[in-house]
Amino acid sequence: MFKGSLRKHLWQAMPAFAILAAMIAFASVFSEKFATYANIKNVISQSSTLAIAAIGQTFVLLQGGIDLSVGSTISLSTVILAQVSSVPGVGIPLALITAVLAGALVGLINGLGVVRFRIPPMIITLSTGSLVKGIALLIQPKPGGNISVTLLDILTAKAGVLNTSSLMALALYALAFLTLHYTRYGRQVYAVGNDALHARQSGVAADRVVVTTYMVSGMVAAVAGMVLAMRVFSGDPLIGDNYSMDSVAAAVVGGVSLIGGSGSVLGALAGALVLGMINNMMNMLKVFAYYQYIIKGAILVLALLVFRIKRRARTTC
Amino acid sequence: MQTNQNEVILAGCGLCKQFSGNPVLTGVSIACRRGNVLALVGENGAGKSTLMNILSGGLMPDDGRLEMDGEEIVFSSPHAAKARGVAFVHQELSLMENMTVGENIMLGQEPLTGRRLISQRALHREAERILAEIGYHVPVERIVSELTPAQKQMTEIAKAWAGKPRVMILDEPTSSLNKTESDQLFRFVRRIRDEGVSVVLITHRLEEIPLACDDVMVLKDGEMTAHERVDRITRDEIICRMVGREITNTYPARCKALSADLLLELRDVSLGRELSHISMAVPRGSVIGVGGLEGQGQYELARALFGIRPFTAGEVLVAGQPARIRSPRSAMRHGIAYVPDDRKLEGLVLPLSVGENISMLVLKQLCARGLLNRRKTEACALEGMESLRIRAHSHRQPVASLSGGNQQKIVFTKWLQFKPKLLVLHEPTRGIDVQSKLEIYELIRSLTAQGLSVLIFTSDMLELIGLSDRIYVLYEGAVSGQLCGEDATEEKIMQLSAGLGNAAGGGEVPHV
Repeated sequence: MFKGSLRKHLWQAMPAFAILAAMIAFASVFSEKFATYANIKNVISQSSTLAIAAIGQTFVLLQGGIDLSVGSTISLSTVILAQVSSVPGVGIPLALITAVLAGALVGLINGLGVVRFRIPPMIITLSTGSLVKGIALLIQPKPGGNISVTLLDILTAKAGVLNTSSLMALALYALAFLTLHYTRYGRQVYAVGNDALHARQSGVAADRVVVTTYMVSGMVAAVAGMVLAMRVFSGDPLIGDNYSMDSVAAAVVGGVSLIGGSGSVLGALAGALVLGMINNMMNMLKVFAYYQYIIKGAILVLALLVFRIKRRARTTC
Repeated sequence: MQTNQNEVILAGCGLCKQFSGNPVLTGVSIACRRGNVLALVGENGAGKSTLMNILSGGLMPDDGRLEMDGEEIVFSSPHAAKARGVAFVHQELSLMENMTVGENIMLGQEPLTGRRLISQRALHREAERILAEIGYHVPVERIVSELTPAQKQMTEIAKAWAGKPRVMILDEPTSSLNKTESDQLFRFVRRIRDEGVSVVLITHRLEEIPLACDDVMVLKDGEMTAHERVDRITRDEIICRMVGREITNTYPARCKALSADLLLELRDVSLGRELSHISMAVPRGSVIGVGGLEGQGQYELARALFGIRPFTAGEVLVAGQPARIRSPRSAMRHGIAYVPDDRKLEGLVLPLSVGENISMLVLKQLCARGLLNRRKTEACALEGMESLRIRAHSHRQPVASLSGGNQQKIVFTKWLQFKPKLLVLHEPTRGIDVQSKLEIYELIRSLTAQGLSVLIFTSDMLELIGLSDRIYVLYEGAVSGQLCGEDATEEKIMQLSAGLGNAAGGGEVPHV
């Protein structure tokens, strides 16, 4: 059905889907509450933010970078929404546009730092992440603010188990999948992640590709922030902190290579759902919050180990 | 046709280039003519790559100019040159490992559907057509990382050919190809020449020149020392112009009788599905060659001997004692050294200096009270450089800046510091200049005279015949036959390589 390298990229995502399926089966058996309508709705809506953020992270990882400013951009986006969206009249469109533009700007700075000033991606994105977090704190030091009720109504409108947020996530995934696997731009992202020098020699404008992936990541993070703001119904300058690492984890669990050039964005979706499931299951099993971090970390290490072993088996046999 | 022959497509006039004060090219002129194949030969460091990089937009000349179709032109990048029809197939392959053959060939010119999306079906069909033009079959939907070196090379050529170049520069395209594949490539070269393409072929295998080329151009130390029609210059003359001295005997004399004292013996060793029931004997002080077509298990055998991926069955005896070689460390404990085929990736630490690379294996001896002794380290490096005549400004120079031949000599020096008993050489002269090649051949002989044994894996037929006291030929992971060095001929080896063991008549020679 799928031709070319897409088959390989999807194959790399398979373990994540298998883990997801196993977790669903496990949860359905061991918890009566899991398979309820309310809970499934809850898992999906909880996972939406991470799933969306993981799209942008995947773009960046595929071209060989990493974006650790995602979390701060998400926080900033929630703060912008909380401050601007309830301004009468122009508030809603102004808030949405400002948030996305802010994300794009963060991405632009990251991208230019990487291609112009040759700063390692991890360093530049950590730095801008800190910078953005500071700005978010300046704008709104504490959780709160006013989010437009109209916007809330729009973004939480339901269609079965899916609400507007999760539909938005799905639409973004479809768009990202098409872009990465069926457009020349997508092909270039993979080419740069494989070998930037030779991609350049094949006529790929590698610098432009790198910068745009960071901008995609920033803008997508802004959207993730909106979804998160709707769910908690407030702006919070620190709420996004975990998403930088979690979005990397989701993508990598989903089979996206940390060194770039292989994996599929669909894997990132599975990875995000796996992480969401872990949270949900532990909440239902009433695991104490601090243990949740430990267990989540352990499960991630385990998942990554499975990948390492799998990959080694492939290369030596 | 005759009139077309003289039409110059791309010309370089009086090209000069310096790298950090060292002149690498001084006033060289070159003309790429329509329907003409030009062989470019010279030692490594003679300026071939620099010249070709200037012609294809990779470098700017310090002096001189380029002309295309009679008009002056400046290429700002390799891509700009490609857009004007000048394609350079590099020796370092530029393929995307995670993409398919087809996606690589069509990179940058993917066929789009009406909705501006890539049509993968059309893309792979088109790639297949281009490969068919070259006359070499590579599965277009295979991921590149799963290809053999020969398939990668052909894919690389197809990628260049996909851009419909008018000038095609091939840098040592045959170094990873076997005889059949080389012949296929030369057929393709002759055909595109007849279609009016200008081809420049860089090669170290001089015997290939008459097969495909019309003219020969020789570079030595950045200057042109010969430019002749192929039929007006002999192989010896070419070598003479390359090195500036006459070389009468390429291969040093072999030792006459093989010792009965076996240093290494393989009994029925296997490795998964790749190697099956291989038996070999390496007498002390001998050179044993392993030949065969590309990818018949040479890579696996060489690496298993060094414990990188150990044998899964069978017995290995070192000096008559059963040896368990489970890792490179244990191989080294048994006195086995391995010079890998990919020196840049596996043989050297490129950013480190010549001295640091040479002393890498003997750091323990160079230490005093747990700290590295600088004087000892330097002495070790200088002695190593001296004994193998490594041409470098200083032992502090990074190895990345040296020519291939000198780099390979550093790998040798590094292992000799360690005083091995068995030297496993994997394509020891791939991509290095004639002079260094000869020096390595002489080194191999002088080492065996001192009692060292050498096991050499090579795809260079002449090298295999010229150096080996005994030759094993691999076919599909098994030994298809063995020959005495003395009566080995190209034909016999080819027959064994094709798995026609009995027809070769060489058959089984009893173990010594």
